[in-house]
Amino acid sequence: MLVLAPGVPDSIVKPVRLGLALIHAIRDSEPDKDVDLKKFEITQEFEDKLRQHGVTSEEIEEALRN
Amino acid sequence: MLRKTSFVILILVVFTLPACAATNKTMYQQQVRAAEVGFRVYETVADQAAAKAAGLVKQSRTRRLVDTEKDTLRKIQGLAKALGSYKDLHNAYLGIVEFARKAQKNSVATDQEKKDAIVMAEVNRLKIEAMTQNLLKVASILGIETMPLR
Repeated sequence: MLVLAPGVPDSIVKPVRLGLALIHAIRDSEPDKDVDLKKFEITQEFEDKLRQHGVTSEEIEEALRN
Repeated sequence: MLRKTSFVILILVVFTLPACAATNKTMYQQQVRAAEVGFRVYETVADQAAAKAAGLVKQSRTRRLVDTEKDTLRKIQGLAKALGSYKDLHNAYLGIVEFARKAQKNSVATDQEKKDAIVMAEVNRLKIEAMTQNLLKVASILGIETMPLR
């Protein structure tokens, strides 16, 4: 809430209030929140992905030898 | 006179404060976006490359692979090494972004230290974005489809 000294004319108070409201609106529309970057951490190796598909890197080597 | 001065101050407050705040905010958002894109690209490329390799390995159990199939498997082996390096650099990048973020909030840090932290995060963002593009190029050579990212 904007508190100005008594006697300050409306012609100043109104635009200042409007300005502050604008600043708050801009800040609220784009909150400065920290994103939890942990959720973007890569934890799985390629080998893990291979295992999920039922093979290993040794089997790739073997397939290449045959 | 008073009215004119107040108006000038108001204009300055309205336009400069949000602008200053938006610069660092936008950079941070871009850095987070790069982290998200990198993560999704890795997950998709690694998963599809592994699926392709698994398919060929399973074929090799019933018949001999032809040369083009072996060539694809070798390329996937190369891609696997690149993915390993990418994973390490991506995770290090997350640490740098986090560090830069904390530096901005650190009341003890000097303005120069805060600027340096932002520059470091930005330089690494550009690096990680270039690496992500390279990963996508290699993936497309192997016929690996990735989802639209932007």
